[in-house]
Amino acid sequence: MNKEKEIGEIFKEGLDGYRKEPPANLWNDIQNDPTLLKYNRRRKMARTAKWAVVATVAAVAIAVVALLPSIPKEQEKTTPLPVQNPSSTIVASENENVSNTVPAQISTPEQPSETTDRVAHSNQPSPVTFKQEPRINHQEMNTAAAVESIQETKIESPSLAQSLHAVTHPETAPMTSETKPSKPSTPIVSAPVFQLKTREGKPIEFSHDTSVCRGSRLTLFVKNAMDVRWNIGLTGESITVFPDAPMFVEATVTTFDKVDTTIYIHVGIFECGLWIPTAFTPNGDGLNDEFIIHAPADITNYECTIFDRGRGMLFRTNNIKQGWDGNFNGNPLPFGAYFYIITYRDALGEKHVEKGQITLVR
Amino acid sequence: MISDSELIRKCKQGDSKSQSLLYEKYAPMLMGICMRYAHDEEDACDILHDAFVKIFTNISKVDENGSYEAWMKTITVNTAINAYHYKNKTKGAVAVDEVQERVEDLRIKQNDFLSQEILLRFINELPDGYRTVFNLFEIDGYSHLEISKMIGSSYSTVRSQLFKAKRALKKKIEEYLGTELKQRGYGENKETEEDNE
Repeated sequence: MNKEKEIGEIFKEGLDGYRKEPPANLWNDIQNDPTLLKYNRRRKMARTAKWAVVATVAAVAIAVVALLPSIPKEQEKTTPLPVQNPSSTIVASENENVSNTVPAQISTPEQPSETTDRVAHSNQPSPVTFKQEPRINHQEMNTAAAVESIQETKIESPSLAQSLHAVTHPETAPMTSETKPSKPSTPIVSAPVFQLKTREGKPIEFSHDTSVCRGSRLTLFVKNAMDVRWNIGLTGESITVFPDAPMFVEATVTTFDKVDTTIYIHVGIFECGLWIPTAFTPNGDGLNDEFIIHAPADITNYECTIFDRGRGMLFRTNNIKQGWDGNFNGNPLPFGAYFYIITYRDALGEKHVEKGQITLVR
Repeated sequence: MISDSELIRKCKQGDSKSQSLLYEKYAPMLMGICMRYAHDEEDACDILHDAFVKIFTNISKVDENGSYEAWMKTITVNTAINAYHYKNKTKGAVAVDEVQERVEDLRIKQNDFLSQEILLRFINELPDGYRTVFNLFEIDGYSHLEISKMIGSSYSTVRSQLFKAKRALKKKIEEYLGTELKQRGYGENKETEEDNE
């Protein structure tokens, strides 16, 4: 089975999916890369801060229940008033409470957002939830970081009250997030709101799948998004592409909800154009001995005519595979410029006329 | 066995244990890509190192529903291109000479003697520019246009580099089959025997 194969094909078959074990010490290097270390530290800090927010929110909620014992629990769920009013004062007064609960929280780095979700969705977070699994402090969780994050949350008390509102009253939450873009909010606090997944602004509109002729240009757009990043390295609402092969254009879109999503637009290719050489050398060396057009298979009504200034028509064919060898009536023509007119209909049935000059080189 | 999405979720939190698991799982595949783009193994290791740092620090941007594998491959390829740019930033633009592309010139007989190691060696021996373009187009399936944008050269340069890369590879294969194999005793007869099977 020794079939002829194209070079690219051989390598594609041989090396696509090629795997190799990297040297053993490489992971060590990567792990200790300063950029990565810095990034990991920052992520952990952010998570600590998030925990602090959750803990503070819970503490405030407990305080609300404690300070307003006369209001039955069912009423508390439906009326936002008792929550909004005391929030700022309570945050201040409950600081002791916060500093008691937070170190227990941050010492459980293996417990990610499930607990956060649970807290966010339960209307009455109980103190039991927060004190579970007290573990030995993780190495990198120093107390300074914890104190810093608590301070951070204290400053944010207005938006904290807002997120508390969202936590305790999920049914009123869309209203809360609608007012959100007007105020600068920290990423820490916006996280629970993000989980509510409300739609902001107009629906996103984007280009449909399209097919164009090879070599033509095409404008693609994504509208009503906050940020659009195209996989071909551009950003912005609309881009112009010059498709050469069928492809998926990928746009990573950030909506006004701050949700990232990816849009795929397929661009198909019609073979409409011709590839016409500009010169040929009929010297019998096997290279470019004929003036021959490279055309897609799906064109019709093809006709190629070649002229000369003095003699008029020299050559004519309706066969796309037939090239011109540079002869006229069996005699080789001299070096010089000749002219062609090619007419055809493309895959879409559109008529095209190509005129140009060809140089015969001897 | 931990699932990919679970792993990615933990990596997003900067968890170094999950990062190490992700590395263990995908490093051989990505190393394979680096080996194709690099001149030698040392260069490949450098590319893989940078690629993984990029993967871990940008993992929060990965689409939850998309293919993580494809995303990591793309990052690795882009890192390889950056390395190529870095290496070649001192060199000027490559002169373009028109090459007549003739597909039929670039065909050879499929041959079982071409192992992965040999093919890889041929690719590694190519000049940097040829190797990059050949990998991008033929193996990783990028279009001419995408490649010209990625490596910042014109469409015709890409095409001509690709053609030259293939021509060089064909020559290497032919030389290899012509000389080395005969020296090892694989003659014409053996090949025809295999034909009959």
